[in-house]
Amino acid sequence: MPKFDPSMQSMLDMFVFETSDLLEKLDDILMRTEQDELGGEDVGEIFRVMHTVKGSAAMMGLTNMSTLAHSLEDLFSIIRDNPDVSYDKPALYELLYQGSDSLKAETENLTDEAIPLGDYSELIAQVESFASVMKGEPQKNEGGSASPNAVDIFDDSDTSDTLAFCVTYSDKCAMPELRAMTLLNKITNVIKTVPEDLDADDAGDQIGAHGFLIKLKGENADDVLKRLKAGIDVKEVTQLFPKKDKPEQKTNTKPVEPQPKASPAPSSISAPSAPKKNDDKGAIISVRLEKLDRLMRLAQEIVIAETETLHSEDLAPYRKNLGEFEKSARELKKLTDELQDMVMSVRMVPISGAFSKMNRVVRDMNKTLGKGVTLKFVGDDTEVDKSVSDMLGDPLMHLVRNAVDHGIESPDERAAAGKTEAPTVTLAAYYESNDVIITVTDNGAGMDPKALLEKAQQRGLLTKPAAEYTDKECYEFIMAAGFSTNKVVTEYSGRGVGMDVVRKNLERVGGRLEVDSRLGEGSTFTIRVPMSLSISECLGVKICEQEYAIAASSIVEVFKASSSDIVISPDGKRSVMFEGKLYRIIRLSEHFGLSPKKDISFDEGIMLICKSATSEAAFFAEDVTEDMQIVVKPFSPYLSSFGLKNAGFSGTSVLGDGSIVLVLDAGEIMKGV
Amino acid sequence: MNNSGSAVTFYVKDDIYAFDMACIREINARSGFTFVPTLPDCICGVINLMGEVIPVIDLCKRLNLGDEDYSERSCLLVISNGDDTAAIRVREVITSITYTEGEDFMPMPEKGIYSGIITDEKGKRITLLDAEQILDIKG
Repeated sequence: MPKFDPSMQSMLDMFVFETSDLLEKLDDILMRTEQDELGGEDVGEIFRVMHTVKGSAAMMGLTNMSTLAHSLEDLFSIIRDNPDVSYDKPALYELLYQGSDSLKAETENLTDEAIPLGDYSELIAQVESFASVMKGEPQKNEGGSASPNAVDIFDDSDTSDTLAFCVTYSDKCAMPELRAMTLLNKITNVIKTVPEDLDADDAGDQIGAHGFLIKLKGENADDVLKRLKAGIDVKEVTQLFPKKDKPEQKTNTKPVEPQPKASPAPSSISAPSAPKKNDDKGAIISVRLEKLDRLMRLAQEIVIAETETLHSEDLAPYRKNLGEFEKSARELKKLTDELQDMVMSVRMVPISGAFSKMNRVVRDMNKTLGKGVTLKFVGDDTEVDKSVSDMLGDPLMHLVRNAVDHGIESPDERAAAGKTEAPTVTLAAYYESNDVIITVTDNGAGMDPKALLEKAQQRGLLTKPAAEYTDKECYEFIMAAGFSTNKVVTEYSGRGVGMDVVRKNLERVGGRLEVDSRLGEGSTFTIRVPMSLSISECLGVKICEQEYAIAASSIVEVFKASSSDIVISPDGKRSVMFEGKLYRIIRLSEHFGLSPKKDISFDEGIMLICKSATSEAAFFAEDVTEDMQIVVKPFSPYLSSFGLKNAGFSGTSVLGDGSIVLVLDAGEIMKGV
Repeated sequence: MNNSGSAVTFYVKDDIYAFDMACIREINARSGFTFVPTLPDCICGVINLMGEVIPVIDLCKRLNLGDEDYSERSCLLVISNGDDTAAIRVREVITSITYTEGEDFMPMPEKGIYSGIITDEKGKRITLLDAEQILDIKG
């Protein structure tokens, strides 16, 4: 059975997005405060995060998530209400991390129907028992101090025409917060109420305990009193007056009395009603990526239309007298260029998002491995396309784990080697032409090329005599499948999967992974990915006078063959010799059923050695034209219905001037022969 | 009933044909197409329409009427059946007309690529084409 009705898809998207965001924020706070003091603001923030997660999870009908969030929220309401409560901090953080992980895992699995909803009753029970231990003694303290009138509704801004009332509801009133809300609709000029947020979960309880406090301005007191008294289920309405200096003046009939302004009242109620800190760094809205893609396309179209307009043939006779026109045209060009840059920049996000997730990885590993590794960031404000940032998550995780587990030595080993500097893993990001370079550097043991070579030899991975391997080539062995240098398999790494997977995943999106190391000083892993994943590097080839693009990643070599390199077998099959190997020749014009105007012999055109996962061949084209960075788009369903995919096209790309280039699919072309 | 409405008329060879206005997304006078090998003969290439790559169908070839004599007056009618979009290349667009069944419009007895005949005020016969059938090209 599906977890959600299809109609809820957009809500679900929103929920997943918001919740993941909140949980990341939570992790940030936890990381920051774990070694430090847990401040009141952070407690409030954690409480709010849990509260929001609980609310939205409940709205989605996810009781497991909302109950878990609720139990954690409860925990923090205790700390918030009584900042001096004593508790076992490491244990608390362990619970919080577990809770955060469970919620995260659940959020990620929501869209996967195959995974059933998680059961967190055990964790919830742990949290609850932790909470009751915490409550144990603070409860006693609270008995005395938390009197019902710990509320002060008056403040400095009040003037003589400020009125305040306390409304109490009869005991049979089930939901006083709703009654309070209706009551508010009947009166005007309200400045403040306590509780401030009637939607809050505990609003009803607060009203039950302290009454509902309303402060308003410039109204007739009797009139307001009358209207308030007319409210449903209202038991009593009392007018409140600011007491200047005598806090102890209270009578038994009035359930709530304002305390003097001067009294420090860190009451449980004023905390949540304090104005929310505006730390949201300006207004941020979330937009679906498809909309941004569409916006980007539109911007491109505008540029194309602009070029067409400004260079229209019709203008030719008037070229001499177009001074004003040219001026406006330049202005327009400037604006459209800016528009294009802006649209591109909208998709860019700082890489710090991907980096800061590693904080957690290192923290967890420090806990189990006891290496005390420090994680450092350099250039984490480097911006990359959103899709790149998302894609980098897994590779980074692997590399950081590797660095901490394999790279950094144990404290004893470090001491023995005389290393005094703190064990550090550094993540750095910077640009290089159209690529983003990300390095993961550790100051650990480094790798011994000889040991790697020896191991590779044992596994039969060598393809040439061992003496010919350079150090760099030796390091690359660790990216071979099933190659692991760690003697002990740990929880984190050492199984020899990982590095080869990391490399494959990066290569799939046009990225690369390089390794460098110095024995005794540490290793550096370098990831190189294009700044935007939607852009792919292609080579232009000419077939029958028309330009086509072919992905650079599938081309191994481009060369001009001489006629002596061509081998024709007795059955007419043609191959070309290249570096001591024969490759079958695929004449691209022939493959696409084109008839060239004049026959081009093999030594006139260009050979491209292409490779796919399953085969390799030499493509023959008239010429290569240029390197291009293009956005490859798949064919529309209508065009696909003509079998273009099987014919060897992977899609089209619209170039900057509006023209279309067809992109060849090397793998498919090789299948056809 | 869909048998009344307005239509855009155009020449194919020397005869007048029409598409119902409802299926036309836009009309433009573009002429540069990108040739795509392996496509059926009547598709002369693809164009970029607002970032969308759509095929250009040579209507004359599509109707098996041979080669058309295209000029700078030739137009592309971008038609859509809801899901699929293509540009139809015609020799020359004439005008738009309205038609009403029973008065100046007669549907074809059988459903096919030609959906009916419109007779204009001069008594000239105009063939109304079915956009969906035109797009349905058997590779």
